[in-house]
Amino acid sequence: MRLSLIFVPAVHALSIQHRIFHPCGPSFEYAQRAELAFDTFEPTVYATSLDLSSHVQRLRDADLDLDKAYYQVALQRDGDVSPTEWDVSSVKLCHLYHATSDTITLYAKDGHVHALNYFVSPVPHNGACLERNNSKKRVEKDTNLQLEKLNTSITLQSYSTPPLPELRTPPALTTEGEPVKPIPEKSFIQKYWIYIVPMVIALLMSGGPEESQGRARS
Amino acid sequence: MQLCLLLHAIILFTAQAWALVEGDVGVVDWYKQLLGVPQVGALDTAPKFHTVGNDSLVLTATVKNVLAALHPENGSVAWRFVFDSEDRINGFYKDGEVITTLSGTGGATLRSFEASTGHLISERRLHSQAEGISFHPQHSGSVVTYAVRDDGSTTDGPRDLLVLTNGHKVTRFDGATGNAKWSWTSPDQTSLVIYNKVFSTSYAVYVIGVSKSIASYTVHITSLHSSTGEVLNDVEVPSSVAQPFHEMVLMSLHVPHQYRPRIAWLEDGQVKSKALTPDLKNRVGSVKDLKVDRIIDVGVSDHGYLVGWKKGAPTHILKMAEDGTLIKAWGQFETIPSDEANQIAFGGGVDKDGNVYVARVYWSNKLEKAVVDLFSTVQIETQQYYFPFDPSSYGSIHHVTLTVAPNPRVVISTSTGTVQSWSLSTTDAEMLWNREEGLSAISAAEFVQLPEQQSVVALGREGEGFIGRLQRQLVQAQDLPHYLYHFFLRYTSGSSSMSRPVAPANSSELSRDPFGFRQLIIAATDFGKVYAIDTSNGEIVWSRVFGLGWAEEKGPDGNVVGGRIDVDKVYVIKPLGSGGAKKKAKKTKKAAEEVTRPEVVLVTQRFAANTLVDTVIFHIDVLTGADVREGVPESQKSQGLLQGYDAIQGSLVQAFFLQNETRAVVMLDEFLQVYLYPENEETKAAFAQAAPSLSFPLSVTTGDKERGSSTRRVVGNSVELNDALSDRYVAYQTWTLSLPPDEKLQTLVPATKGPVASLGKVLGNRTTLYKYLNEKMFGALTESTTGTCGLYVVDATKGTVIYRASLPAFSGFEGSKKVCDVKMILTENWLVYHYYDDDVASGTAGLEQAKGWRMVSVEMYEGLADQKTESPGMSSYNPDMRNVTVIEQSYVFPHGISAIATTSTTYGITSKDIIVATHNNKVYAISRRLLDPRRPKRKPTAEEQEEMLIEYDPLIPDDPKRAISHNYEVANIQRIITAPALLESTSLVFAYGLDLFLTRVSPSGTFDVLSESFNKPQLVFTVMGLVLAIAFTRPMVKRKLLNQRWYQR
Repeated sequence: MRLSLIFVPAVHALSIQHRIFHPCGPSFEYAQRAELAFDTFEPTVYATSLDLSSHVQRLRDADLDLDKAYYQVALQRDGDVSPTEWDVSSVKLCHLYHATSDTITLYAKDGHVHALNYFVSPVPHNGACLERNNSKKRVEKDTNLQLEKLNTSITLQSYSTPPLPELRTPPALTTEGEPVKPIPEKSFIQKYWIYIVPMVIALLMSGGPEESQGRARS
Repeated sequence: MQLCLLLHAIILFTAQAWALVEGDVGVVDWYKQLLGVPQVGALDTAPKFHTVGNDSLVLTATVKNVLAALHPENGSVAWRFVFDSEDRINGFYKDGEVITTLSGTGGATLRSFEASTGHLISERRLHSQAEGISFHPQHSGSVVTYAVRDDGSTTDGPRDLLVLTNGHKVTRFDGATGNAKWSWTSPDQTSLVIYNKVFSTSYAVYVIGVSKSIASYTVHITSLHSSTGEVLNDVEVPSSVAQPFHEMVLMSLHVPHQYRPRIAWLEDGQVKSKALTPDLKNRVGSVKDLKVDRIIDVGVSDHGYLVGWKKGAPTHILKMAEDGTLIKAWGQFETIPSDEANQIAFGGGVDKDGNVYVARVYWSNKLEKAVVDLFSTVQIETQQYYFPFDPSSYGSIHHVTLTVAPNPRVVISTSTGTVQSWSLSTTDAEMLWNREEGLSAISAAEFVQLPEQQSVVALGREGEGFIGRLQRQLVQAQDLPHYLYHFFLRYTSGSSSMSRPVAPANSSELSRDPFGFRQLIIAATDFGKVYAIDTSNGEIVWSRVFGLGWAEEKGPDGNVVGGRIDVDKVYVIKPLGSGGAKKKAKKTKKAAEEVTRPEVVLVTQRFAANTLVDTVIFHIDVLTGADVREGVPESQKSQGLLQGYDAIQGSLVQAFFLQNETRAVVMLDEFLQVYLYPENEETKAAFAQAAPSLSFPLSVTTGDKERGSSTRRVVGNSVELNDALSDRYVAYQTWTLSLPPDEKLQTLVPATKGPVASLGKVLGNRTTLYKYLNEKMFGALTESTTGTCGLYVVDATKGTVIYRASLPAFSGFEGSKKVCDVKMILTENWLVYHYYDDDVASGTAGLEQAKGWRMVSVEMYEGLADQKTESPGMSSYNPDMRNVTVIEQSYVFPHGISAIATTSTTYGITSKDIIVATHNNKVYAISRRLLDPRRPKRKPTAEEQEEMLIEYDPLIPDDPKRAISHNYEVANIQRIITAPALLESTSLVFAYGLDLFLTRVSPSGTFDVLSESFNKPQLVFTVMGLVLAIAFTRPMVKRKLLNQRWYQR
């Protein structure tokens, strides 16, 4: 991937919020998951401030399909007044149960983070929610979401600039501004006359007797 | 002999290397030169007849910023001059052989043209665009007047020009040399006096303007010395004009040795006027006992005439008295009852004897014809002519231009963008020509494949008995010798090739040709009309005018609300060969008919004049243009205006197409509720099935507008049905992508969809690069205040930024401000974008670089050789979907482009060319081989040569052979669409903007068609010879085998 991962010193505070979201369910408030301070490269994590399990239970009580629920992570920047201005990324809630690690990717330009993306891993290839046959086990698992156990990594992505055309080197110029004329290459004879002349002489010298031999044969 | 063979081989080789051979011109392509719809808002830009020597021309400036001349006999284009989009035409002014134009903000540029040829004679910059003052309407504040010649003058060279610019500066230019003789600038530019008219006599030049007072405008006149530009006098006339640009007319009379100018204006329904004399001391006069709603300059004000119009009352023709002292009512047109005509247009003309004619043109509901009332100064009675105008095909008459020499003729402009000329006579009017200029403003277009001829013939055979079939086949057998003869000819002559015209001249029936080159383009315009264009020859097959639904019905006050239709999308909802329809076709006859009749749905928004917005669907039969909505009476299907179905009572946010068997149109209203068309159980079930996997991006404004912190961002949506709240699916937000604070979202660019023939690319070393194929990808282009432009490729389901580049903005027209003009195309795993780089200072275009247009080719792969993540079936939620290996290379492109597209073929096997429309009015096809980002930067190795890779060269050469538009001037192309033909090798390319251009391209050569030079007779004779030889030798062989058996025993 071409996007470079560069940490840039941030001059603004960032807060990572999170919640559970279901398109048909009640609207849950966001809770802070982490505070990011890039000068120390150490995020302060508040993962426990959200009781995910109870929210999942509420969705279950409302008899909603949990496979359609999302776990949303939002980015609160400096100056954002309402949560509607926050930047949001979602993963399917069902993927969170099997996840061992998660990644928050922050998109930045000139040291200013403007958007985020959130992934959990591992996720089935086709993204489907794994079937959970045992309903008892399912209930236990649904209410047992532990974000603290996830191995969280945060990456920062900034812009790339496209490559530039690789132009040919311009011809060298003299002090008068005229192109430097290349030294004309010597011809084959000019280069190798020193070898050619002795060979020619040698051939001439050795040519006589053969002819006489031929004549003699005829 | 050998030399001859060598030459022959060279000629053959070069002929194959050409992109297009001369014989194909006009056969595989067509081109329609258009001008744009005439600008009829002001007299200075509206169509006019003009006589140059013995030739007559119709001159006009158009909304597409073109100055054009037409031949009045047949409507063909004599010449045209396309102005830059930033350099708007304010007006054109004719004088014999010279036409002068003033264009740009405040009249920045003065040009003169030769009237008969359109050659540009001179061009002069009067001020920069930045110094220009913009007015509303745009043409006010700048005008050109030709100075009168001194009576003693004997020269007949070009006349001096008096040019008003920026509403406060008058300059006199020498007609012969173009030098400024004098210049006068209004001394007090802050007094808000805006001058907009100039009149010249041999002694004085009068500059007339208005100054804003509390509720209206006051007329202001300044007289200048004609030779020196000194101010003679300056007065503010006690007056009150409500609309100075429409209700002020400069009139004049030319009596021997004298000009008598007069300025007339409308004040509280009264026509007032004042004579223009150097001292400006005469009184204001008014036309007694006359109240009008409007005064109209119909182009004969320089002969002392204007029209005074009042609703429900006779229309008066006002004339200036011979001595120039007053204006009086001279003649009148009778009142038209309000229920008989809606819109009335006036035009004026002068014959060669100087007699003035005024025409009133309207569509009469009673007579169902267009009526022309012609008033002339030589006849007492008003003459009446009629012509069979069809408002259901051309809308209403907006403007009329009249000429009376050699016989009365009118050129009319209509609301649908049509320009027509009618020859008037008392017995039978004749349409001289018709130009569909609305096609210069296509808002949406789509290719539609035609049905096969066989299936059309097959219809109606249901229930045919044995006798019936026998009779039919006997009748058909009569054509057998003819068929066999033609089959033989076709087979031996090799004329079944690509360069054959696809539609026989006598073919009136719309049906598919063997290669699928003949299709229909359904094109909807900004002027409320939809056309079907035959791709084989560019002819219009049918056209329909959109009805406005309730907005065109009369309200309780007797007035029609009015409005306009904006077309957003065109969808083919029953294409031929679609799986579901075909299966049913076997079952019922009705379904079989449906298969052969493709239909299109136009998703439009109706903006009524009372600000109400509705989403309206038009559902049309492609072959006939008939309305195929359910419940429409048969009589109304093909007659009258095309009426739509009000799908949403409100505006449309997004529309897309369900690409499954039902092919339903999905629309979202302002509350993101989902509407389907057609909405039935089948489409609902299909949508419910597709809903869980649907995701689409929208551009949404967030933040506080009042605080000034509102920004647009990209929001990803999915849909869900919440039974408790609504019976409709509603979209909800799943992700957002905010942009950096200095960036503004320009546009979202959907990826070009099509079949993917291979999942990877096998390299020379037998390893494979697997393509990153994500069908949810789309592009976003942004602009910023800090001089950079952004390009994003984003996953629509998850919001993952897959590719992102920061590109430099460049200084726009005359360095006004930094602009972003990035064009991109995304298809499969291939992204190509084009931008201008002049950012030398910041190092983007480094010191070793030069300013110029760049084209970047980007390919996305799952990984390096043999690394794969199986991206085609992978969920966007899988983190591996982020892992993209990007291979990119940048090239110097010689031109700026206005549109970009890729070719598309039936199975996607043929390589894709990039088609671009350049600023030099050409359409180019750029081979993928040239844009391959893996071109080595040294001499290619044997493995690379095996992959057909060529050595990197930074420049994509400006090769005229690649111009598929060859010598056509295809101006101002806005969009290019492509469609597959039935042949895998060939793609149809349609470019539209000002002009229309269609051609066929074969990026990988016509590998599935025998070449022109293939010797078919030789093949036939060889095969026949072989058959004969077998027939001859067979008995011999048999006999020999038999003999052998005897000996074996």
